[in-house]
Amino acid sequence: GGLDQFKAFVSSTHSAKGDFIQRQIKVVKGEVKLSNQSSGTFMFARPGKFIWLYQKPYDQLLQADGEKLYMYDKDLNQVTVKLLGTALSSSPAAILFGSNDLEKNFTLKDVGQKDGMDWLQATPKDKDSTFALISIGMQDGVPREMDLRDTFNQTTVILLQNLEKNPVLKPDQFKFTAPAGADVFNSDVKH
Amino acid sequence: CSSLTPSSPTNASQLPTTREYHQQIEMSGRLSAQYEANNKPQAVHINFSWSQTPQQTLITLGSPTGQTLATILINAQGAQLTQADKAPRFASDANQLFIDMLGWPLPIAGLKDWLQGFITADHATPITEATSNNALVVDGWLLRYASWQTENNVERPKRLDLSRQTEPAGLVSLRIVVDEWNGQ
Repeated sequence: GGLDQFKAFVSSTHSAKGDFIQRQIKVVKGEVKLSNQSSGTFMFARPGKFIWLYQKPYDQLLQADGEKLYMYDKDLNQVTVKLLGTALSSSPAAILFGSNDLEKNFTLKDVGQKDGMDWLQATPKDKDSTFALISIGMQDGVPREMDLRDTFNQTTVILLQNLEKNPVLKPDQFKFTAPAGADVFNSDVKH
Repeated sequence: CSSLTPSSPTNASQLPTTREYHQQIEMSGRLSAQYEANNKPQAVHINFSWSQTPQQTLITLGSPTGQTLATILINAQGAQLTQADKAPRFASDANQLFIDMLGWPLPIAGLKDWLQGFITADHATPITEATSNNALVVDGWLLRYASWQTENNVERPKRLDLSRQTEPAGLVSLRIVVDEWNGQ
């Protein structure tokens, strides 16, 4: 089923890269509407290193180097730096890029086949998470789709495409350098 | 000398049609807020949607990956803020509710005008790129229009920067980019 495919994926995948398409499912007056599509590329290396780059409709980057989380938005011309710490634990990033003891932060269970994928569900154990439920669709041993349902019953669908397992990565692949001219703001650093 | 005389107006036909104030408008975009919480610098990057009618304004704040963080509904009765996993909170003053619940102020009443490029309640004269080069002080906020956009020949604000010294959130600075804009 989905769960054992996923566990095999997590244990055999130290890093990966690919493309994503993200869409929001909104139920407006009972009618399902797909809205604000965005797309881009992703790359990750366990534990805690990833690059989640939105290219369309705007330039926005979420990057973690294992220690800090960087958020850069080109139009806002701003980089915010945070300690990675718990920011990752119960976010979708943790599912793909976190350390692989997922059961610590999520309750995992198989939920069967649909749309040609084997599905599992991950329920965050941390009640404060902005997520109610994460569903993952596996196909040929790799995650194809992640549905993220928040506590307002809004669902974000993330399609993962052209996923390449354990690609060759440069040693400083996840090192972040702020784009020239961007204002850098360090959060939670002053004690 | 010549630099004192106003620059000659560009040829009238290219001028974008003047912008009217929309009582009913749907917008979405991104904002970042920098503020202080127990004297540590904090920052959030948020995607927002803004749905405004004469009767009410509904604002949804979400994370970049689409999770809803909070919704704020403002109408004649006051403001209701609902956060993930928390019971809705009511208050007459939306600003205070915002600071209490999220830790930083969003000047919603002002933004109803400022997002559309107006700073007077009578919405008489729109601010334009030509007239907006220096910062304005409105309701205690320093407001600067950082960039503009023209869509079907109507010029509208693209990015606004706001800052203000506040209690207890210290120096608050907001940057707001409006991506989608459809006014009726």
